[in-house]
Amino acid sequence: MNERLLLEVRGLKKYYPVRGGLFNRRVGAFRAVDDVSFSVPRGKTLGLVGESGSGKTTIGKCAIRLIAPTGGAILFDGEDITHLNERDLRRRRRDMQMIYQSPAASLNGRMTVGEIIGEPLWLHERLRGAKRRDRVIELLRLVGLKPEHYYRFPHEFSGGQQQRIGIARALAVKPRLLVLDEPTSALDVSVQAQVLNLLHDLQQEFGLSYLFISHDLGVVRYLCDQVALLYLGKVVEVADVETIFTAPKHPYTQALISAIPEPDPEGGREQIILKGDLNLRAPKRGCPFAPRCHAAKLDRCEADAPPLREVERGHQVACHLYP
Amino acid sequence: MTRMSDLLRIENLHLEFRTFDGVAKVLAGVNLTMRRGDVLGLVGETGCGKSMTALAIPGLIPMPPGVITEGRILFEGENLLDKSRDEMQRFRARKLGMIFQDPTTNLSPVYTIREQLIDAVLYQRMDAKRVPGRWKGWLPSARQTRLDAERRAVELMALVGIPDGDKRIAEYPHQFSGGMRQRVLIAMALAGEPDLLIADEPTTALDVTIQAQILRLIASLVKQLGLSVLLITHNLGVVAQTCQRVAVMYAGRVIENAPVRELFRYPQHPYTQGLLRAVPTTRVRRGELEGIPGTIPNLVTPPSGCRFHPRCAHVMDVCRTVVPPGFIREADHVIYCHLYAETP
Repeated sequence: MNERLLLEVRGLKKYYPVRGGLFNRRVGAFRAVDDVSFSVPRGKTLGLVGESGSGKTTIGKCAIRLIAPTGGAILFDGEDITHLNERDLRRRRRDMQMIYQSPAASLNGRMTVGEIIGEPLWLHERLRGAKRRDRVIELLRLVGLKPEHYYRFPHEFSGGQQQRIGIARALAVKPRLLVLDEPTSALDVSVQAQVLNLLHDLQQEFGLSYLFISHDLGVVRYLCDQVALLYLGKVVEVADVETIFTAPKHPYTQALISAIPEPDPEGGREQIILKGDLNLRAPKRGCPFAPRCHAAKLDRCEADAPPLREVERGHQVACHLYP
Repeated sequence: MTRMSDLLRIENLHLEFRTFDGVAKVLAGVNLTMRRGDVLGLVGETGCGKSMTALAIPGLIPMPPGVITEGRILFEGENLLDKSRDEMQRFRARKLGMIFQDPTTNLSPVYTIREQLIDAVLYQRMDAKRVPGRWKGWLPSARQTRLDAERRAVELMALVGIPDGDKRIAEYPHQFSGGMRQRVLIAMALAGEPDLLIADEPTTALDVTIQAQILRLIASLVKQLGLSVLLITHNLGVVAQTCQRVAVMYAGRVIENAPVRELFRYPQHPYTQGLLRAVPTTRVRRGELEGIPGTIPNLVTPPSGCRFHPRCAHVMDVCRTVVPPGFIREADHVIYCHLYAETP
């Protein structure tokens, strides 16, 4: 057990049944998350990056047990929460909160802002009345909203403000870990910048740890300390953020980083254009990325899946090119 | 005034929506010019009117509630706003291609790609009334027409990089991936050999690796077919990598218009500068990203004068009352901001 780590996930698996045939029997399993291990250090941000269908949201939800994993272990602050019962889990959830992609959809349109942010205070601390209202107003100020927003409804706010409400609700119970599932992908850049800065300031102030799920590599580079890249439910590369962006090793990471359009017309960078697209029916054997890989093909790529290995200190890659 | 080389010229376009909350002044004097072979990026944030500008060109603004109160849209010198319904239909078929953000909702799930591509080819080639429908398939002449169109459809699929077009044409949209569906829509848009392709956020719904593929495809089509492209996006990176010119919009007006290198190297309008600073790139350090304070204005009661003035750090008295005209900084770099009034 490492004292530095707040969240540790080992060999996480989440399979969904594939049904078909007579009587809708279970005919197979879709491996949304397949043997994923990572950890979030205290007070730091781990970025989970991958394209749609790579399992990043599923991992985020499994990590705080919003959905039950099929296998693996989740350790929060040294405690195994994989098999906690509902009651203990609810107590534990105070420490881990989630912020969702679509701010409008994650707020109840029939509740006022005061009720939305106040609800977790009632559930976890049995706070009511003036005490609760004071706390809510304090939270509103903290995320850059005003006390007069207390009695308004979510639809009266812009997207960026709605996301701030979501953040205030998550912070109400003073969590230690926030799972941020694409928190800015629905926002415009000027508003995104404000929300990213808010998240950064909150982390500095309260020593929060973030599990930051995103497909936007620019945002990840800006906010994260470490990055784990996912491809089809598997981690293909883990390293600190500078290494990932300056010296990526896995061919998929290289392609993904080269594909980000830089806002600089003179940035004469060679783009790697991948063949085909993410096919959820990946080959059963071999490296899941092999069909799209642009690097030299080894015979082993098609035969067996490469394990995640440490190639340098703190830099893990799952690729046969780096034995 | 109109030069022969201008393919599209939008002059002082005003568009309003009559809503229950009042009249929303969605476009308030949009000016744009595109030459043949141009790839023009139209950028701006949600609600700035970039999609509405794009929809006004083919006449697809829902009216009511929309009303174009002022302005002209000149395509090869002809004002599109004077054309009748039938003329517009023909214009869209022959001269325009359009692709949209979400490739899923723009394809019918109940017809195969074959039916949808054949229809696209036929409606863009011949008069709408003379297109033989699917139900006329038993007529030998109709069958021949549709068979010819199918051959063309397979050609189009090859053009947009769908492998095995002759086999995949029999599949349904759900059997295609997002990137492939967008390619199908590009094929449809190209069926009438258009002069202008309007692409409204064509890669927003796609992953970055697929986005790179689609952008490369569009660039190669520009070279191969001599297309002009109006690319609407909120992603400044996409603009930097694909366009030659950029027009930045804010709250219903174009506020800066420049060649792409010029705009990214010397952004002049305070809004453009703010927008570029808000993008997280390699150079910004954590915690130092700058957003633009405030929010976009309500278009029912927009700010007077320059619509950006309540959020602008350099606001002057004149900004509150007078709509800034275009000031030319250098060849082809136009800024709609009073700060540049002195420069000749």
